Amino acid sequence: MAVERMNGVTICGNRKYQAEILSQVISFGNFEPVSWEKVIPKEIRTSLNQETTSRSSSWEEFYRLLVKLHELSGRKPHPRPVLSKTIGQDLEKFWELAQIWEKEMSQKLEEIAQLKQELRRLGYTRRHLRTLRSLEIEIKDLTELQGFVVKFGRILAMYFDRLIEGINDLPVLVIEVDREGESCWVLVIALPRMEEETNRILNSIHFEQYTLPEVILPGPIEEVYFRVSDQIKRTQLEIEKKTIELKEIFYQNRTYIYDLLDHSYVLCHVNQLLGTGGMSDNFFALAGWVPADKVEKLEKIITEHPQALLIIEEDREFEKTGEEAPTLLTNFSFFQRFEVLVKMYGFPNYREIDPTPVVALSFLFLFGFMFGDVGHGLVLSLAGFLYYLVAKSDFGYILGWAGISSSLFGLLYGSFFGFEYIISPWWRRPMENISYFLGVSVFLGVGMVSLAMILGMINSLQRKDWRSLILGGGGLAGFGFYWLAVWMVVSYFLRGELPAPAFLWVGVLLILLVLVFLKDVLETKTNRGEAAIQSFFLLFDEILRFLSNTVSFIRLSAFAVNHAGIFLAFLAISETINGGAFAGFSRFLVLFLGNLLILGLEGLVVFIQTLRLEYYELFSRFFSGQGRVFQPFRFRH
Amino acid sequence: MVTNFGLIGKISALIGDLLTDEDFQNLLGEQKVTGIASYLKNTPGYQPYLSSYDIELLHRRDLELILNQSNVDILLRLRNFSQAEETTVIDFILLGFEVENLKLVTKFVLLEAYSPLEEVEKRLYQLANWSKVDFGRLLRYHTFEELLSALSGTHYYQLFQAASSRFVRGPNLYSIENSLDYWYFSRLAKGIERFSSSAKKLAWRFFGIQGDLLNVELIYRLRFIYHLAPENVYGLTVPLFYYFDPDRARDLTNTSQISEFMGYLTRSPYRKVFWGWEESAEILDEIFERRTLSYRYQTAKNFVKSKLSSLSMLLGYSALKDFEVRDLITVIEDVRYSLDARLAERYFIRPVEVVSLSGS
Repeated sequence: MAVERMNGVTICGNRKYQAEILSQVISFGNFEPVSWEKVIPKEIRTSLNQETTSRSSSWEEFYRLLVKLHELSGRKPHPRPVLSKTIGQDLEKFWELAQIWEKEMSQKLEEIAQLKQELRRLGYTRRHLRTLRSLEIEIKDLTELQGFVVKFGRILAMYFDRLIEGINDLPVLVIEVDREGESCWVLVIALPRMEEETNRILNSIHFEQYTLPEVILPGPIEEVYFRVSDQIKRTQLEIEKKTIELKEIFYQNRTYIYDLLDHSYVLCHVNQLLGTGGMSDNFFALAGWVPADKVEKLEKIITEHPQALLIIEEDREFEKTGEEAPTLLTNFSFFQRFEVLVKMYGFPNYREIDPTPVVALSFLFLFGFMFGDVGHGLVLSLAGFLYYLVAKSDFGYILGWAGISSSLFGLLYGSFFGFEYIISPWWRRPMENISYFLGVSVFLGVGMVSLAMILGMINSLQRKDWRSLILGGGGLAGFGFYWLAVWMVVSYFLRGELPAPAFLWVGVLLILLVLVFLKDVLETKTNRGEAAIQSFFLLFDEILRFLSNTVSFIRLSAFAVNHAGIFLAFLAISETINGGAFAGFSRFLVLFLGNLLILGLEGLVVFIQTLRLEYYELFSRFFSGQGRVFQPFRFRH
Repeated sequence: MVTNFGLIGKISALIGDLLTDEDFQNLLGEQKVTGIASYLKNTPGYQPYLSSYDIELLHRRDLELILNQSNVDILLRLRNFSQAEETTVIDFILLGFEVENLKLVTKFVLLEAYSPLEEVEKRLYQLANWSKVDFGRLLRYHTFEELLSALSGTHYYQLFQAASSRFVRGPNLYSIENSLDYWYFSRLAKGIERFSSSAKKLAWRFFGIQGDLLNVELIYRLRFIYHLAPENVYGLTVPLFYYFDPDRARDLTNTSQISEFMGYLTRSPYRKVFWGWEESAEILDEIFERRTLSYRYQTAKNFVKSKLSSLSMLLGYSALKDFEVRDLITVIEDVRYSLDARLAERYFIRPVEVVSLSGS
């Protein structure tokens, strides 16, 4: 239920066995490589060099070719991380063989590509003809137009205004014939003496002129259209024929192709991984991060190879090289679904508390508090969990639990689909105890802000940032100031005077403020005067934040009251409907629609308000969200 | 437009972290690039970005990349504190970085790996979760078709698709880069139009000046250095017009003599930039390479003075930080190639006097 602890590891080994060793490391799936230049000691580093790129890219090229062979044969490639023993022993032969297939298939591919290009060109021709048909112009008329220069083609739609601005003062006619996504087909008609200027304008906006092939021009437009359609069909058939020939090559050599695919798949990844490390003629070295609880498994893999060595280091030691540890979150299944709320803001830093459990619990609590209703909660819960089951969406799961929380608060408030007399409250009704709930909200605010500050202090402790821990606005000094101020304000409201001796407590408050003020000043090595001025303004900002963060929680009671208030409005409307055959039904309809509106609109607003409280009032106090996700090197297509 | 005091506080602190003239004078006194990196490592503005690096191992190019990346990181951080139009403005600036990434990737893929993949990958701006495009993955493609299908679902897809037929005849990088720039600036212009009136006024003043000066420089180069015809030039300007609206921009492209062109500019609100021009390549280069940027630097300075508008401070600060990094790269080049400090002064965007350094 936290950020997983990491270990830094260095893997060294004999290059002769690199494929076997590293394919297992990749299959292990929990090793994130880092740049070896920083991590591996200088003396080892100088004896290593990097020369994987050319080999890696040739394997990648080979792998892509094999994937393409699969695709062309209508099969989806399913490479397995398996090194082929047959190929491993006679690699040169298979390279040669594969090169022959490559040559044959490339030739076929080239022919197919040319045909596809022709097909695309014909497609444009047909489209061209279709658009011209809509203008009711005969091709012959257009091409033989005397005394004018006619151009047909397309531009990016965003350039259309620019084209019009460009020809504004020129005797040039532009007709927008058709729009297709971001493209715009235009017909440009100009006087011959304006051709040069027109061309310049068209070139500057990357006009793509389309010219009809001469051979298809003769005849009426309908006839030309069908001739082009036939040509398209013939070209399609030719492509199919060539593809079948291509497939033949594939099926004749399928067993080898599968083996080669697997083999090159592994070697591509191994070489990619080696690209992050260093190599000499005989050895390779790699460095990276591994979750601490997975290190033992990696150790077991490496010890199976007598030609390999694993060096394990503690995270802080490894970080001394300048490599910041990545973050891997490990939460219980329940909390895991709430990680999405945290990730929407940022990803926790390695030296930071994972706020997910706090977010999960506080989110449910705050949502329920603002949207407390047994009936609405149950509906939301049902809808949420259904959505989760159908779409596997974490939001559905969160909504489902938010609905349950809402129902529980509904029991405390005695509210059922807005009706406040069906069930008696286990606690109090917000509508009848507005002042009481306002007070409770502010105290909840104090509690939440304090919790955020405590989490912030734990983060400072983890980072060993003593100055922020002691002097920071979110540190002990700030915490002391906040609680002392809260205590004094509460005392004043309860007893009408500040706690005695007032000057002593005010003095303590000022001292704590001075400590907070000093933090930034002490941090600055140069130009302390300027730092002091900034610090003064930041101090002002900090005090305002204490106040605004706390007061912001008033919205809890406001929405709790609002929930009952909106329903009362609909109830009042429904009660104005009297008499008539459908009065009962009309009243029901008003209440039903009212409930729908409350569920949809208010539910959404409360959801957003809860997120707002989490992000602005809580996260900003302790969560940087500047972490780096742990991205282990794994086999992937 | 609501004032966001939280953001004002953050930006005020970041402005305090910007380098001073004294810092730049000290940096110009460094003998080696590692000296510059070491100096920066001890400044509050760059310490977080350099703390994890072994300065001795840091190559000049890497240092430049770290500095450029710092611009992105700060914006991503500020985004957490921004609201409404501030977020949109940050998104637009980040979109600019994303477009630059896409240009780099397109160039790499279509020119078939003109330099090692690892080197190009390092040059990508890291946009974290903000960007939906996995540029590292795109770099591994080999054809325009693969690139196109990988962009499916992003806002670039349709743009690339519309340009696809141009690629049948072979890579046409200029056309795609120009189209991307055009797309970015027209999107920016449309985005600003949706702002509230006060935010719109601010954003237009900021980005509009940028668009105007970009267009003026472009027209100068294309008309009077490459001698392109006016009809060619107007189509290549960026669609971000402020004072130089389409009519005025067309008037500028239609000028045939440099004196006529500069005369037009000296009668514009930007007269300060072009005042005292002479028909010499050196002076004209100085005007278009430095003075236009210095003017924007001064404008950005004025923007951050408005302590009551978080949007104004955000716009000003983002530009100042960008200019600072550009000046730092000038310093790095200067030190790396052991040039005279006066040369660096000539290319500085900020007004730094290095006379006192000439003896060092």
